[in-house]
Amino acid sequence: MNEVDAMRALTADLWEQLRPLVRARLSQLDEWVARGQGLAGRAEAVRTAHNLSGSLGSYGRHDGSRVARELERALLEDASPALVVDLVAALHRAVDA
Amino acid sequence: MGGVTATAAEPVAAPTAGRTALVVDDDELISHLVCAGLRAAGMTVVTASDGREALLRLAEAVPDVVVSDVNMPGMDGFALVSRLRAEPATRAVPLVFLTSRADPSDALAALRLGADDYVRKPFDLPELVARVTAKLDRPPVPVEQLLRDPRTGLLSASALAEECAREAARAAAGGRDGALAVLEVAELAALRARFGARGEAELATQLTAALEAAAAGVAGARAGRAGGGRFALLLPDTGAEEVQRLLLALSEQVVRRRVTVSGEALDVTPVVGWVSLSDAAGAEHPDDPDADARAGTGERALALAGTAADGAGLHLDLQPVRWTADMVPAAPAAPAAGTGAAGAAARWRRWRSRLRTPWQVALTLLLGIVAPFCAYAGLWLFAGVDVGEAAYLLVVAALVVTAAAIWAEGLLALDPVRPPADTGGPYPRASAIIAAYLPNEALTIVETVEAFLAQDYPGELQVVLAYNGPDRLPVEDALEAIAARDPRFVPLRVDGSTSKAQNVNAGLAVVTGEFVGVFDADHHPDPSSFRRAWRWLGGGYDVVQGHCVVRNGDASWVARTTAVEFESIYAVSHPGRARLHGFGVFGGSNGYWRTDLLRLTRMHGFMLTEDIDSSLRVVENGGRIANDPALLSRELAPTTLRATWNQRMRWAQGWFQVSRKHLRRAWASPELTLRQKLGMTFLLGWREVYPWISLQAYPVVAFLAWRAGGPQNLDWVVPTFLLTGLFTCSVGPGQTLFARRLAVPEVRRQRGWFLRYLFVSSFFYTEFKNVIARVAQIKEFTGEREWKVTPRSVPVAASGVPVLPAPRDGGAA
Repeated sequence: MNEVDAMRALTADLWEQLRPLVRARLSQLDEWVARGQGLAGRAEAVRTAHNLSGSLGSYGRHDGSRVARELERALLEDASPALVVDLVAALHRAVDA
Repeated sequence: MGGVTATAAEPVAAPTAGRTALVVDDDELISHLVCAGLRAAGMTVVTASDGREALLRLAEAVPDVVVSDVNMPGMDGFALVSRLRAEPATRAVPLVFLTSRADPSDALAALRLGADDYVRKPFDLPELVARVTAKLDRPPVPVEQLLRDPRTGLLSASALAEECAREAARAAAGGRDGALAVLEVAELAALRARFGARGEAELATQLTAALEAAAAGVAGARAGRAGGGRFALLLPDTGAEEVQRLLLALSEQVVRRRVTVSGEALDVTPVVGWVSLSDAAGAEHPDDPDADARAGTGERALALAGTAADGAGLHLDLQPVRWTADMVPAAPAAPAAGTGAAGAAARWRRWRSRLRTPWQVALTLLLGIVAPFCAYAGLWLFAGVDVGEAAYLLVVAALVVTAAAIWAEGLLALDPVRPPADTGGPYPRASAIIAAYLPNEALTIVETVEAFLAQDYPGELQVVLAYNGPDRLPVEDALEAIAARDPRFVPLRVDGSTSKAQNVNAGLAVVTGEFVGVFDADHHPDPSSFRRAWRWLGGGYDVVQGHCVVRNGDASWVARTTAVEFESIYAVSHPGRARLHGFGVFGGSNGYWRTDLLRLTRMHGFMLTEDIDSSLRVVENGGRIANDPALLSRELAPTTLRATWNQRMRWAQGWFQVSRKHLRRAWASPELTLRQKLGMTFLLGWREVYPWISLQAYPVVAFLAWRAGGPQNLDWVVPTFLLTGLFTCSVGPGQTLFARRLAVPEVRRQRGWFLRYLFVSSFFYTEFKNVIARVAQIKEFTGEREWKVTPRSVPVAASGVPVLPAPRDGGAA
């Protein structure tokens, strides 16, 4: 196994170990959505989306990274609650894939 | 991050093994991934969740590399890198930013603040690890901390300064002294302006090769950069003479090699200054005397050598200049007090200055007449030894030898060496350098330039006016107008110049000709001069000195005397000596050089007669100098006796300076034949001794008369005395006759000038020059080197408008 492949394997291994952590973050998003996407918790939601857009892509979950970036933009642009709900659901699917 | 393990990749045995990384990120997902990757590369990893915590970790131990997020709660990444770069301990620690910020302006800000890399999230782990590893393999070091200059591979200025300090300490502890030299190229600013940074880089590469070659020849020598485009060479354990020799060789090497920038071959002028390590250790910092406590010896040495290089840059004569304490900028002079005591002191200084030369004349008479008489009388009275007869015979023999040499010169001058045949071309590009101190030449410089541009030369002729002066003059507008009209003319103001040598050296930077004629600004060469000069230079000679003819002989009796004297010098002595000795000399003006040789030889402004000095250096190195009495240029002579005194005093002192420097070198030169060495001995040795010998008849005859009980008891008709007297008395008329026969037609027509010259020279002028020669030696020995640029009277036309300039003193004919 060459160096690059070893790193890829390491990344994949880590992803499996850290997937529960990602899911926990998604759960926090779910809770905020369930509370009606109010002002309280919005900044935290933006931060979570921002971090996930960076980290998911780094773990090779590029779809998840793209969805997280869209979610971050939607939250920053104060998009419709329905769109936010759709994007959070899409994020779940990408993480579970 | 307990509970998370990286198992898929084993740590790699890499150069990073054992190195420490600090990973700063508030996102555990990222932090885990980066840590795992770096650990897999063999590194030890420490983590922090924001900038503040990172600072705590840094205070505990400085890592080898920092990988940090930008957006973090508390202290962000930009604040962290600013703190990192402000602290000396962490200034050089590589830092890689890892961020989701996609705006290019963020990357620019990060890099400007001191980040060494900027990686955007999402990132590829293998690539990130490779980037971090690269920072450890090739650490991005702040410029001032670099060991090697990245462009040239030479030691950085700071590294060289450290080495220098170490060598200075070693020398101070009992080792041999060494030196630090700074080298630059005088044309660097022009080169930058024309070719930009790329040109400077090409120059640096080529200079590096020369420096490294120079360093390779000296044990322990190290080459480096000195900042501001300059280079440095540390020469430990090297004596001052050796340093001077090595650096001169380096300068000449740079000149010989030429440099190529953007495909163009350029002639650059190396400028070298140096300081001995012991001097640097004990001196003040030249730019900031208060900085001594802070600046180390190395930095000080670089600054002092740089100061010396600034001094060398004024002369452009390739001579390395050693730093001396008087190069430190002096404190501003206190304003004149104007008090009675100060006034009296000033008056006393004036009087002392005025009386200095009469006192020196008296001293020469004491040394030349009274002292020998006392010696003869003392030996006779106290030791019973009579050296009178022997001294008499010696003096007679010396006078006869001198007279015979002068007659030989005259006879040989009747058939001078002729130039090689005119091949009819092709004629190469030629250049003229006219050196001028503009305030003195303003009235006629335009006329002079036009005369040069009217030369009948079949090839291309470039005319460079290299001039200096304190202020801009209206005539400079006229000169620029000529340059705009005729691209062959190049007016070149030489800022900071104080001598003809500097002007000529600076002019060489723009010269494009294969050969170059050097002229003072009052010269009008014959229209065919350049064509004739090329016959010599194209035929294998290196330099040819022409015949300078006085064109203002009707201005005064002094000018008339000089006019005939110049014929005696340029039409008789020079060509006669060239045949007798086997070499000629360059007289400072109306001389033509192969350009590459003049670039290498340069004019040394620290010599009073830089022209003679340059001639002798050429001859000693095997060069060939011809004297051509038919290569004419007309110039102005001084018109008053005082002006002539000053001019000849400088020439005489310059000749003495040159004699002291070159007589031994000439004998040591493997290039010279025995005849040339004897010629050098006559030119440099006998010429200096003769003015004293010419006095010796007085003490000898006085002693003989005293010993005989009075002059009436001497036998005044001894044959040797009579014959000697007749022979030596024939020299003056003989010289005058030769001069008349070989003079240019316009002077030869002036029969009265020659008769008056015979009278004046026999009864006054020859002894006048002997007095000057003796006094010049006293001045040189006492270190009196006033450079008097003597204003010569400006003839005034009937309208009252000055019609002729007051030229500077010309060469040392």
